[in-house]
Amino acid sequence: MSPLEYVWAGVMAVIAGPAAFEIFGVGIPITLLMVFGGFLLGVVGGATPGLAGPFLMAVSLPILLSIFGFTPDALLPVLGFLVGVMKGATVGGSVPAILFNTPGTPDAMMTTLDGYPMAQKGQAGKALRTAHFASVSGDTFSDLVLFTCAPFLAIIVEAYLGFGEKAALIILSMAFIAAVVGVSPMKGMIAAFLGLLVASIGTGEDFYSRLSLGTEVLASGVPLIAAVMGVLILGEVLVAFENMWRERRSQSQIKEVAQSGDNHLSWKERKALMPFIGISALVGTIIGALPGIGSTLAATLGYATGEKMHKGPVKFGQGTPEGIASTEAANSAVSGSNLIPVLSLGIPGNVGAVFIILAAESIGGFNPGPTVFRFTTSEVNPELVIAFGLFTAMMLANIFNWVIGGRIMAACGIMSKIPNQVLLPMVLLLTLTAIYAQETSFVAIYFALAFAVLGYLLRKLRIPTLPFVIAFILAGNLEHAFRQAFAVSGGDPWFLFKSPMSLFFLALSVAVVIFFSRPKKPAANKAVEAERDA
Amino acid sequence: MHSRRVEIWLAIFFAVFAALTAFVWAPLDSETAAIYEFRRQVNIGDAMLPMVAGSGILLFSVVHLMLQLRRLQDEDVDPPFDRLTLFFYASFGGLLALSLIVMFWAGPLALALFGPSGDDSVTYRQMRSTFPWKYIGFVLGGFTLVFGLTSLIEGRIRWVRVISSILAVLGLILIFDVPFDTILLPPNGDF
Amino acid sequence: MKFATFKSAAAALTMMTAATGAQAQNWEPQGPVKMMIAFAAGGGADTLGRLLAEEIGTRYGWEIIPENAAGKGGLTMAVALKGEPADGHSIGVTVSEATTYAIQTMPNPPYQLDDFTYLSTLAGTQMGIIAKPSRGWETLADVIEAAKAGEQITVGAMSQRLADATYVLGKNNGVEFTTVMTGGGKASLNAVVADDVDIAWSAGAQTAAVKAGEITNLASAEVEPLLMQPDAPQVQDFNLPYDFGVKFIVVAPAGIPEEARETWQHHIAEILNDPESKLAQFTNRAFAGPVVVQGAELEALMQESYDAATGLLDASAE
Repeated sequence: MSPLEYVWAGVMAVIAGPAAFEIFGVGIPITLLMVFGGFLLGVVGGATPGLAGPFLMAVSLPILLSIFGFTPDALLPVLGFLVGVMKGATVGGSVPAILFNTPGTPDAMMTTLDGYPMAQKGQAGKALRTAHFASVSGDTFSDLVLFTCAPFLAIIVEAYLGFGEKAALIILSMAFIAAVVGVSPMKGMIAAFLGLLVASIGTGEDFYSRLSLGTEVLASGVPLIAAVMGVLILGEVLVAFENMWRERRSQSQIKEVAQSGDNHLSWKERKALMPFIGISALVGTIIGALPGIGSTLAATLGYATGEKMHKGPVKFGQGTPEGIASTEAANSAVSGSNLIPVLSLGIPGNVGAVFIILAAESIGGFNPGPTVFRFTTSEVNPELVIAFGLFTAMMLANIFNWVIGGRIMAACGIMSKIPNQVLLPMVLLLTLTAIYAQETSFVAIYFALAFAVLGYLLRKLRIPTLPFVIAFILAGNLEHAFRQAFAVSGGDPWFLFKSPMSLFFLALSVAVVIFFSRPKKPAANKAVEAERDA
Repeated sequence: MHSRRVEIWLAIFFAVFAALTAFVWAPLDSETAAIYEFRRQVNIGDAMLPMVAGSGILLFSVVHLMLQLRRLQDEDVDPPFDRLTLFFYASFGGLLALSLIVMFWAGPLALALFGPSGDDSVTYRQMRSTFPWKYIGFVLGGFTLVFGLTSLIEGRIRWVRVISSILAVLGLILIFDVPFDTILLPPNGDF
Repeated sequence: MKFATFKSAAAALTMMTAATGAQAQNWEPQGPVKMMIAFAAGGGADTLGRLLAEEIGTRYGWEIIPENAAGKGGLTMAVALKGEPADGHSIGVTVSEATTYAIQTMPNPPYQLDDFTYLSTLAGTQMGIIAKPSRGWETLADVIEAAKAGEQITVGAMSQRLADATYVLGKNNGVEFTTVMTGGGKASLNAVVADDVDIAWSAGAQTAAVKAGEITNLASAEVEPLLMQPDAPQVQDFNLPYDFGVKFIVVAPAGIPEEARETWQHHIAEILNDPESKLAQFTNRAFAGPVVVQGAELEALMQESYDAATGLLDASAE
């Protein structure tokens, strides 16, 4: 098949795939329905403070697997649902930020700066429309970059990198993530190596399970889903429990202001917002493509850039649509491009991508990485069809977002009234149930709780959790690449330093860590500092 | 960043743990050494990855220690843990343990007490996907967890939370159990 | 297999088939059945297991819950299954070498061949040694020639048995190969395609690429010629007198009730023998069609494979 035929096959896999049901004789494809369902869940969940996209993706996974099973046919509906959630959550997060001054997702923090003042002026509708318009534009732009870049990057990687270079590239990505996330690269690196250590428990090639201390519990290794959800979600929940318990004050209710101001967003106004959206979308896309840096930083940078460009009567921070547009375009533009490292290298750069990889791994038949983009002509490469199907699903999510996203957002204000002390215990039970549904053993629950404690301790000690999780996930690939490179070299101890390419990657890893270790000036912006020190 | 003292202790802890892991635990608790020769071919063994991981932690915790020792100014940060933390997690841990015990044993116990006896007696393994036995543990344990935790955090017991907790547990049953034959609610997969 | 064994196996099989008509319906699982699959989701063993579960569910109304217990070439699953009650409510899907090969290399094996009841085979591999045609090698003889001329040949293998086989192959032909462990499924094929290794063992994933002319089988490692390339020579002709074919099998803990065993065997055979079943269709697509060996014949087959493993291990000892 030619490349264009692959693209077409991918599109057809979605729109001509199995139908869920028929309306007036026209079949509604199941993937389309799942993208829509995921998008809906994402917006509602994103609008609920305390829930976030990755959490929703994580708990949906076992349910999706039960519905669709483990055949290759399950890939597109499941992945479609997950990208729907991812996209929905980024727009949903701005709703409580604008209406109640509480960001629904961390990356909507900067949206409160102008969104809430606008709501107080009676312009909440206009603010929501601005957020929606900027968000969808940024997201769509970022997706287009993903569709064009990922295949080329993957082909280059596959064509020029052998076992040794691939091992060096994984090291570089881990070093980069460890160095940029959190306040101290040293602690990031400690977290990453800790992830490798935990991943080596009970794994390996020998029949004795290493580091199992001779116990049966450790001999079969750490259950992946339980560990990842424990550290990322339950750890966060534990910290929130403690904080709520300490504060123990009833949530101060913020009154909604009667909305009487100018709530429309005309085409002329939209056009005026375009420069802000364009710059922020670019910033968000670039940041998103780098592993480890999140949408919060993109939002902050987008806002800061917009602030410099802005020359209107209402200043940034006092309730101007440009401020919302700059933030929302940037944080939404992250969601497409942060799949670039996943799809082209198999390296997840952020939490959302972690769950995409987990889904693909659980179902099987699709291994995100450079081998996906092999344009074989004599036989069909099914993984490539899935990849283009995934792109199609993302575009469908964007279309839903353009057409009805704004309306769903407007209806979601009520979600932010659920108090956290009621919601988070439910989240705990939901997560444990979801883990159990997948692993069907109480042992998995104990593992999840143990990793929850680890996640809690890491957070309290300000050691970033993301390098831990990503190193944990990549450890198997890394060890495999090492063993293979070493075996192929015939047992040369310098096997990793033999090619200029891997030397370059390794030198860059060291440079990144040293660069980010230099003493930091206090950040001008509190939000940057908050994300950095998280 | 925490205060200098906390960071120094943290670095020392990791350095000691990592040294033990890299040089004692990993080599002793693996079948093959980091590098081994088998039939004239040199291979990487199972001990390699944990030894590399341990050495990495050791290296970076020592560097962190040195950076912290050189750090002069001390930021005014609250200590990461205090007695309130301990108190909260002691009560939380107790509640969690209670919920899990209830979740695990309530079903089998109810079956032993109220299930068919004599010649018709059945094991819980046989009834683990039959209504109502399959729900007993999850409903009681799940309710204990959600309601207990909300009440612990709020510091008081409210009837409205009883209702919301019951609804949450029923909601989970609706999501996970009712539509699927292949999903087992906790604790039914363990029998 | 000795002819006597075969005859008694055949007799037993006939008797069993006759008996199952009357007895098969006597046994029903009480509650759900746990099916443990010894390999990761998405692979051949996984799909076989899940399709079997689905077919049994729709045909007989049994509730079968598949789960993956992957790791160490089937060892993880076997250990877990051994600990399950032998009541017909816990079964495993694995490969024949999981209970015949690795345990013989261990000083304290966690289980033995007779810790399990062997219910049925499902399908067999099409194991070959593959290379890119562009390397100019037509058969294994050319590769051995190249190695003798001093070229370092890297060989991808996906299990310890095949790594051992690679060593014995080299030893018996007076050369040395460098073994690189690859994953199962398509991984060894991918390694050959990307030029990461020179040649590799592949269990059937190479079929489409062979038909497209992108990959060639240098030798068949089965006892019979490969269906996709019948003209490839046999590894047995290169001083490697073993069968490297692997069977996918359904097992249960040893000592399950006779009625449960017969019912399981009956149901599995019925599904495999029905060309319309999804399971049978999948074995045609991904393997060389369904393989139905059960009862005493299967036990004899496992024993034979165990003894062959002993032979290979002795040959590979230094």
